[in-house]
Amino acid sequence: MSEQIMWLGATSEPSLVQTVDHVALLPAYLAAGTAVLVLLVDLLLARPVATVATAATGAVATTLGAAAVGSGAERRTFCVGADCSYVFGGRAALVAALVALLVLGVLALSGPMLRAGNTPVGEFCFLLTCSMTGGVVLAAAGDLITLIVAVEVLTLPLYVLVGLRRGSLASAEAAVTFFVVSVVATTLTLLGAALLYAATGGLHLERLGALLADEALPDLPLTTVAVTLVVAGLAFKVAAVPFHAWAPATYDGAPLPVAAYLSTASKLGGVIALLAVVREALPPEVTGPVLAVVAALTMTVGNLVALRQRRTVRLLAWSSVAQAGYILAPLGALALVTEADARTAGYAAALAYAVFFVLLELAAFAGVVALRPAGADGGHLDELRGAARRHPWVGAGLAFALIGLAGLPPGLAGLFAKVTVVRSLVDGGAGWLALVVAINAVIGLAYYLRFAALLYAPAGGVAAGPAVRPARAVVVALTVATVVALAVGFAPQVVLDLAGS
Amino acid sequence: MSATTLGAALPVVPLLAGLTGLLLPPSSSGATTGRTARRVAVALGVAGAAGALALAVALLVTLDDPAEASTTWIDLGGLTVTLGVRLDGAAALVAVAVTTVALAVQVYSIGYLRQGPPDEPDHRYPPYAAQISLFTAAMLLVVVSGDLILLLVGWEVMGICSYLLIAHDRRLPEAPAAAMKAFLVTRVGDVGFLLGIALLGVSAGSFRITDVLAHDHGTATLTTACLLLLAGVAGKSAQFPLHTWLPDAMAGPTPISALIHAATMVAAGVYAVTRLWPLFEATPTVLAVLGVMASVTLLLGALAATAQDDIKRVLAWSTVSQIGYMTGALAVGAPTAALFHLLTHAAFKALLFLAAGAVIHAVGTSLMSRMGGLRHSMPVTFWCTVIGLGALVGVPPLSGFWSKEGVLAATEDALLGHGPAPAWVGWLVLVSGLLGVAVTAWYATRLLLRTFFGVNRLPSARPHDPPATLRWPVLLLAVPAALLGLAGFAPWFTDRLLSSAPGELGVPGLLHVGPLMVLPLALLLVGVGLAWSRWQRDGSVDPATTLGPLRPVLARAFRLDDVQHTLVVRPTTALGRLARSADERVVDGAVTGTGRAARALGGGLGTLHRAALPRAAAGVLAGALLIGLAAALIGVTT
Amino acid sequence: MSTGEFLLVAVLALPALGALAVAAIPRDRVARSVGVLAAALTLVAAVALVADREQGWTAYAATTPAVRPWHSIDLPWVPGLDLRFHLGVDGISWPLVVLTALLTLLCCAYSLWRVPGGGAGRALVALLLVVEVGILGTFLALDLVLFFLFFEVVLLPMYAIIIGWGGDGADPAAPDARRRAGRKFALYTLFGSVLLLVGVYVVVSAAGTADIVALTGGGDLSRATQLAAFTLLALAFAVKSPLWPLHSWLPDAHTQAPTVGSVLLAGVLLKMGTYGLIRVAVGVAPEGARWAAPVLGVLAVAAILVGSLVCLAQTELKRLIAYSSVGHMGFVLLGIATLTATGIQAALIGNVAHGIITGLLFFLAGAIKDRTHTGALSELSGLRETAPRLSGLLAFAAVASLGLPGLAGFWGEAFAVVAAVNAGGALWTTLAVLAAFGGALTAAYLLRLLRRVTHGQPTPTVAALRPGLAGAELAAWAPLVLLALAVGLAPTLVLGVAEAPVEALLGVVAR
Repeated sequence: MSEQIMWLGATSEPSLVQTVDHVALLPAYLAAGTAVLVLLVDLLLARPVATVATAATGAVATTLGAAAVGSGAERRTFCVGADCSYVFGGRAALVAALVALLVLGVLALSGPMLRAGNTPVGEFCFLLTCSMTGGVVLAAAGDLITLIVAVEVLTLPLYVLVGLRRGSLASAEAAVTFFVVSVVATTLTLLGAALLYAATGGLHLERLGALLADEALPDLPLTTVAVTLVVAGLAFKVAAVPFHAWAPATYDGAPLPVAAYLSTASKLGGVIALLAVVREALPPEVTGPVLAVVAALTMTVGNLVALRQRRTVRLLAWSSVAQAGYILAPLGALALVTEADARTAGYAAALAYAVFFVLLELAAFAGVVALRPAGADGGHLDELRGAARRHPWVGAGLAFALIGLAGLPPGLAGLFAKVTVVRSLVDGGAGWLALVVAINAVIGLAYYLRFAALLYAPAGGVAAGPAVRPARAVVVALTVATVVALAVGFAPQVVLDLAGS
Repeated sequence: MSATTLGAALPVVPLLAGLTGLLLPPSSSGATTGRTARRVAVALGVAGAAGALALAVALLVTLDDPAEASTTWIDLGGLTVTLGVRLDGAAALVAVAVTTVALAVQVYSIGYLRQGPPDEPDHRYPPYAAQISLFTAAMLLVVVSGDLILLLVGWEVMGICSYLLIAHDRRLPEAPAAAMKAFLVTRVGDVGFLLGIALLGVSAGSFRITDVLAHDHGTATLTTACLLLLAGVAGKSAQFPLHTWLPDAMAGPTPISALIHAATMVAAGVYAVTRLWPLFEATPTVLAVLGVMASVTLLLGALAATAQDDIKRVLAWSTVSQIGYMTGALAVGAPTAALFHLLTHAAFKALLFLAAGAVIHAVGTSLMSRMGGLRHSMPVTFWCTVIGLGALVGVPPLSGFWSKEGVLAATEDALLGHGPAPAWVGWLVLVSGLLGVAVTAWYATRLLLRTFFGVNRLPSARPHDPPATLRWPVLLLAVPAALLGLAGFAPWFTDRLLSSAPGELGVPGLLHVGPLMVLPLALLLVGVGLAWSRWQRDGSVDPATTLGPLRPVLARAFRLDDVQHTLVVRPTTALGRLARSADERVVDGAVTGTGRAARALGGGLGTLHRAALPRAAAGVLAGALLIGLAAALIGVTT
Repeated sequence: MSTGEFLLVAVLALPALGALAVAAIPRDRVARSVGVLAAALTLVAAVALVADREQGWTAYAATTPAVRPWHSIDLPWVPGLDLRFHLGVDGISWPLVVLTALLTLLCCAYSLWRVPGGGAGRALVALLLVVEVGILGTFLALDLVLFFLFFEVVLLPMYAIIIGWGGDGADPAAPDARRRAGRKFALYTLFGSVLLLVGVYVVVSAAGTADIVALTGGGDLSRATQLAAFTLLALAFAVKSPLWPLHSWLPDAHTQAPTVGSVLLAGVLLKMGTYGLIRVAVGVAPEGARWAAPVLGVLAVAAILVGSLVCLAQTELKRLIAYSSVGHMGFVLLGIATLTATGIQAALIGNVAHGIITGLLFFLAGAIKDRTHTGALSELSGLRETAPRLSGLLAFAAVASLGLPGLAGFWGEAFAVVAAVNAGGALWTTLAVLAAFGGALTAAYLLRLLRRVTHGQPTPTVAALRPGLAGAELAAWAPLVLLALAVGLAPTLVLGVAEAPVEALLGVVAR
C-alpha cells in the first residue's frame, strides 16, 4: 500500500515529470479540436452547412490521425513506471477510427433532420464531436479513472442529444430516463473503482491485473464486490440485461440519428470499456461466470421481447440489446480458459463482433432514416410496409443490413460475426453458451425476417406513408456502410486481425 | 444366333413395341390422327407379340441344353446384381405359351375394343396396346431372367401393367378400385418376395440365380427365405389368403383377363417356384405350408365358382382353383407336373376367356342370368367353349385331363414318402384335388348350360358369332387346348419340360396311364351329372339354387373380402388418419407451440419493461445489488 | 489453373454471376433468358467435371486419405476462423452436383415460360440461381466451415421464393398461409444449421483443422468429442433431410412454395441433409455414427411408416407429395444408418432418384394446380378423360415414386431394405421388414392418389381442362422422365462413380 501512496503523494519519485507523447495524443487532439472548432464556426459563421462541414472534416481528420498513429508501433504516455494511463496501439486506433467514422455516418444521417430546422445545428454538431472525443480517448485509456472519464465524456453529450427534439414529450422523457439511469450506472462504476483501489491500491489496468492475479487478494469479498460493481456499471452502457431497461425507451424517444449513435458508437464505447477492464484488470474467475450469465440473459431477453415489437426503433433497440449479449458471450467463456492465446482470441472475438455489428447497425438505421420522412421518428413497422418496392435500392440495403444482423448470408459480415463468437465459445469450452447463442440466432431471425419481409410485402391495406425521396447524404451513408459490410464480409480476416492485435 | 442372344432379345422386342406405343397420342376424339394412331398402335402391338412369338419358337427349337449368360449390372457394396438370362426347355415352352396368348390377345383386342363408350371409338387404344406389349415383355423377362433382381423387375412391371389394364375401362365405376386392389394385394405379397430375395442375395453375396442355387444356405435362412418368397407367390398367383384381388380384376377388358388373369401373370408365381426348385425341395416345412395353401385355394376357388352369376367371375374363380392344382403339384414335389398344367391351363383358360368375351361382345352383358340359348346363334363360340370347358374339367383326351392327371399322380409319390414333402401333404392335396374335380365339373356344366342351352333370356339382343379378329384367336387357341395334353407323349416335349428340374425324383414321365385315372373320371361324371340332372328338371332355374343357403356365402367366397376389409384395410386407413392428426397436432403442434410460447414469453417480458422511471431505476439498482451479492458469495466460496 | 480447378470455380461462379446479371438487367424477358443461359452453362460445367478425373482408386492404401477428390482447389480465405476456400468433387458428390444443375436449369427454363403471380420473373430466376450456388457449394465444399457457409446461403433465397411467389393467388387466406410456411421453413432449418455451426466448431476446435479430407475417418478425435459432434451434426442434417420427427417444416413449405420452389426444395435441397450426413457426420465422427446408428435407423423407419400413413389420409395433392418425401428420405436415411457399403450406395442412388422423381411429381402437381386452381383431391378426378398426357405422366411419376423395379426409385428403396437385412441382428431385420411394409404403404397412397386424380368421372373443374401440354412443360419434364428410366435401367450412371469413394469412406468408418 505504501508504495502506491508514495507515487500519489508525489514527493520522491522523479517519474512525475513526464514526457508527454503528443503523437500518441494526436487523435484525441484532433477530436477535441474539432469540437472547439465546431463551436467557433457556429458562433462566428452561424451557417449550418459550414458547421456540419467542419464537424465532418474533423471526423475525417480524426480517423486519418488515428489510422496514421495506429499504423506505427504502440505508443504509451502518462506513464508512471511501467503503468501508463494512455496506450495507443492498433486496437485503439481501430476503435478511434471507427468511432470517428460512426460520427461521420451519424452526421450524414442527421442531414434531413437538421435541414428540417427543429434542431439547433451548432449544438448538435458540438455535442456529437464532444462525444467523439470521449470515444477516441476511451480507446486508449490505460487506467480506471481515464476510462470512466472517457466514458462519461462519451455519454454526457448524449443526455442533451436525446432530448434535442423540440416539443417532443417522448424525447424529453427519454432524456430524463437515460440521464437518471446513466448516472446511477456511473455511480456504481465509480464505487466499484474506489473499492478496487481500496482493496488493491492500484488504478492502472495492467497493474490491477497483476495485483489481482496475486493469490491473496481476490479472496477478499470486497474485491469481488468491487469487480462486480465495475462490470455492472459498464454493463449499463452496453445495455446488458438486467441493466437494459433504459435502452428501448431512450432509443425510441431520441431523434433517429441519435438513436443510431446510441446503438453504434455509444454501445461500442461501452464494449471497449468493458473489454478493457475485463481483459487487463479484473480476474476472469469472477467476471467470467457473471458475464456468461449476463450474456445469456441479455440475448435471450432482448430477442424474445423484440419478437413482439411493433415500433421500428424499439425493435432495433431490443435487437441491439440482444446483440450486446452476443458481444459479451465470448467474455463469458474466459473463466474456463487458461491459455493466454485462447483468451486473446476471446477478446478479439468480442471486439470483432462489435465491429461487424456497428457496421450493420449503422446501415440499418441509415436505411430506416432514408425510408422515413425527414425529421420523423422511426414510427410503426407497418409504415415501412412495401417500402422496398418503392425504393428498391434503399430497401435492399436495409434488408441486407437486417439479414446481416440476423447473421445469415448474403450478409456475410453478420454470418462471420456469429461464427467468430461461436468459435471462441466452443474453443473456450463453453459449449452450452454456444448453444444458447445458436438458439438465439433462430429467435433473432424471426423478427429480422418479419421486418425484412415487410419491406417487400405488397402495400395493400395500410396506407403508405408519404412518398419521400431519400436524402442524398443518408443514401451515401447507407451505401458506404453496405459496401464496407460487404467488403469485410468477403475479407473478415482484416477485422479479425485488427481486433486481435 | 445363339440361344442366349435369342433369350435376351425375347423381352426386348415387345418392350420396344410397348415404349414406342406409349409415345403415340393417347386420345383425339374422332380426328384422323386418332385413327392413324390406332392403326399404328395395332401394328406395333401385333408386331411386338408376333416377333416375340417367332423368337420364342426359335428358342424352343434351337435350345438343346440349359444355357446361361450374364453380365454384372451393378455391384452394391459386394452384392452383385447381374443382367442375364438363364434358359432351359421349360422356360422356352412357357415363353412360347406367353407369346402365343399375347399374340392372340393383341389380335382379339383389335375387334373387341372397337367400341368405346356409347357409339364413339375407344380413345385410348394406343396406351392399351402398348401396355399389353409392356406386359408381355415383363412376363418374358420373368421367364428368361437369370437374376433374382431382374426377375423382380419383370414381376413388378407385370403388376403395374395389370393395374393399368384393369382400370382401362372408363365405363365401369368399380374398375379403378379393382385395379388398385389387385396391385396392392400383390404388393403386400411382394413385401415377402423382396425380403426373401434380399435374404437369399445377402446370404449368397449375389442375386444371380445360379449363385443363389449353388450357395449352401443355412437351414433357417433357407426356410425363412422360401416362406417369404411364398408370400410373393401367393400374391401373384392368387393363392389363399391373397387371392381376393383376382375376381375383382375381372373389371378389366376380357382380353386382359385372358392374357394376364388367366394365362400368364397368375402363373408367374408357380413358374418362379420351379425356377428356384432346388431351394424349395430342401425345405419340407415350406412345402407343407404350400400344400395347405394349395388345398385351401383349390377348394375355395372351385366352390366360389359354383355360385357366380357373372361368367367372367366363374372363370376367375376357376383360375384360382386351377392354380391351386399347380401349387399343389409343387407342394408334393412335382414341378414338372405343375409346369405341364400351367401350359395346358394357359391354353384352355385363355380360350375360355376369349370365348366368353365373344359372348359378352354379342349379348352386351356378362351376367349368365341374361344369357341362354346361344348354342344356335353362336355355334363357333359354343364349340370352342365346349372344348375349353372339357379341358378344364379334364375330359379325356383334352389337354386338361392329362395335366390334371399328372398332378394327382404326383401326389401318389408323396403318399409313399418318395417326395421331399411329408406324406400328409400328399393326402391333403390328393383329397382336395379329387373333390375339386367334381366341383369343377359341376360349375363348368352349369356355365355351359346357362349360357348356351335353354332359351334366350335377353330377347332383344341378336347374338351372332364374332367377327374375324375375334374368331380366329379363339379358334387357334382351341387347338392347343384340345391337343396339348397329347404332346406329353412326344419325347422332345417331355425332355424339354423335364430339363428344368434335372434332379427331380420319382416322376419318370409326364403322363400316367393307370387305374388311378378312374377315380377322377368318376368324380367328373358325378359333378356333371348333378348339374345336368338339376337342369333337366327345370331348364329355367339356375342349378346354383341347389346350393341352398350356402349360395350367398359361396357367391361372396366365404366373405373373405369382408374379412380382409375389416382386418387390414380399415385398420390401415384408421391408422393413417390417426397418424395424420398426431403428426399435425403433436409433432407439428410442438413446433408451432414453441413458436407461440416464445412470442408469449416475449410479450410477457415486454409488459414487465413498461414500468415508469422510478420503479425502473429501483429495479435496476436492486438488480445490481443482487448481482453484487451473488458475486460476493461466489468470491467467498471460491 | 488446371481445367479441373477452373471447372470447380466455374460451377459456382456461373450461377452467381448469372444471378447478378439477371438482377441487373431491367428487361424481364431478356433477364430470364440470361438466367437460363447461366444455368445451362453451369450444367455443362458440372457434367464436364467428370472428364479427365484422377483415377487410381484401386491403389487405395491406408496412408491415402479416405476422400480423394477428382479435382480440388484449396485457397486460404479466413485463417482466423479456420476457413479455407476448399472445393472438390468426387463420386459421392458429382451425381448430386449434376442433378442440382439440371433441376435448376429446368426450373429456370420453366420460369421462362411461366412465372407464378407475386413478383417479377427475373427476381425469381435470380433467386433460383442463388439457391443453386448454395446447394452446389454445399456439395463441393471440402472445408467444414465453408460447408456450413454454403449450407446457410440457401435459406433466405428459398424463403423469399416461398413467400414471394408461393401459394395460390385465388385463395384469400393464401398470403397468410405462405408467410407462415415460409417462416416455419426459415426458422426451423436455421435451427438445424446453427446446430451444424456448433457441431462444426466442436470438431474444428478439437482437431485444429476444418479440412474434410484430413478429418474423414475421425482423425484423432476423442470418443466424447465424436459423440457430441455427431449428435449436433446429425440433428442438423436430420432437420434438413428431414428425418421424422423433425420434418414438420416440410409439408407446409412444399405445399406453399411455387412449382419451381417445390421442385428445388424436394429435388435437391433435402439432399443437402443426407449428403451432409454421409460426408460430414459419418465421415468426421464415425465412432459417433456407429454409436447412434440404431437410433437413426429406428427413426428412419418411423419416418417411412409415419410418412406413408399420413399420405394415406391426405386430401391435398402437393401436401401428399410433400409428405411422401418424408417417407422416401426415410429409406435414404435407413441406408445410411446401416453404415454398410450397400446401404450408403442405396442412399446415394435413392437421393438422386428421389430428386428426379419428386421433382417431376411437383412439376406435374404444379401444372395441375395452375390449370385447376385447386389441389383438393376431391375436386380432381377424371383427369385422364380431359388431359390424358398429363395424367399419363402423373401415373408414370407416381409409379416411379412407388419404387417400381426398373425405374430409378427402386434401387434406393429395395437396397436400403437389403442393406438392413445385410446388417443382420434382430433390430436391423425388424427394421428391414417394417421398411418393406412401408414400401407397400407407399404403393397404397400413390395408387390412391392416382385413383382420386386420374380415374373416375371428371369434376366440373377438370372437365374444363384443355388436353394439350405447352412445349415448355414438355421440355422441362422430358429430361426427368428419361432420367427416371435411365437411372432405373442403368444405375451405374450414378453408382459407377460412387463405388470407390464409398468403399474408401467405409474403409475408415467401419473400423
